[in-house]
Amino acid sequence: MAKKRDRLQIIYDILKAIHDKNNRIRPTHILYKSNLSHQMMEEYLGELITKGFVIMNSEKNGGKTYSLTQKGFDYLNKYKLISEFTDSFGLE
Amino acid sequence: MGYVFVSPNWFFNYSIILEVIFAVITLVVSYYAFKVFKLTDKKQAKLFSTAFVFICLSYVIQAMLNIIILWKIADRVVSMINLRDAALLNLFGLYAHALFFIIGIIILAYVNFKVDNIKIVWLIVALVVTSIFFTPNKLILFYMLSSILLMFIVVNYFLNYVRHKTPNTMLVLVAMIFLLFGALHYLFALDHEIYYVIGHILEFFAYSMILINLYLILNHGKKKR
Repeated sequence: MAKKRDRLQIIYDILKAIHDKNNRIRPTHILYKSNLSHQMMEEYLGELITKGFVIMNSEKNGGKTYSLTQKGFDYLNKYKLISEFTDSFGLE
Repeated sequence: MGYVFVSPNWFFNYSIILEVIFAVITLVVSYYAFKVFKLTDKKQAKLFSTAFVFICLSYVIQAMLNIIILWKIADRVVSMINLRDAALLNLFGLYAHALFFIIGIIILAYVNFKVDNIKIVWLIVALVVTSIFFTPNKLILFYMLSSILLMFIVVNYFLNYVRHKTPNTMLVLVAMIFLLFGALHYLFALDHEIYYVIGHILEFFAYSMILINLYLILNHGKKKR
């Protein structure tokens, strides 16, 4: 049985999805890439915006896209360190 | 009347060196925990960092006071009054170390229990500090309470090891076991100086494990995922 993804991994997957789409991604793509339910994705995105990892952009056609902030890029770069640190010291 | 130091004379210099090493290692751990907090906004990482700041301060204070004692002894011919002052400083250093160390351990235990009510920390700190303050055997109670708290922490790190089964979680578990035995040993150090030395050596092993763990994390972190 596959190991359940933890919170840090889900955040990483969302940020990576945004990053891989040239830092501009639609919610439907995040939904597809992150493998979350719509409600869960909205909750995670809301939290990531509040904490300053992601910003929401309003497009001319009325749609919305998401981009990483510097803090979001930093998280992606340091993910392995964060993940191993939190695992080994039991901070997950 | 004689003035008895807890540390044996021959070990005094070494104990200062070890305390400085412990302070540096715990400060580095605290720094990286804070870095993780800045990157993730995880409250647990901030509390973990705070716990290690307190533990670091406990060693800084102890080392500083022991260095002052060394200066006092080196500067003058040791008279009875100087010796008394030095012994008092040594004891004061231990009390200050005890206070900061136990607050650090309480926060660490709180982080391990994964509850979200900071009032619990204040309550335990208040109970522990007042108990230690009003008991005649301050150091015995301090090491006893530290041992109990560390036992809970060891159990949690054992469960963490079972969950992840990685070399890193094993290192932290072993480090905490060494810290626990270090605290248990101090219970005997009050009567037998050699146990004080063994306690310091066990702590040295514990913090070395934590440092190796940190080195492994930083080394892996450099590799691209």
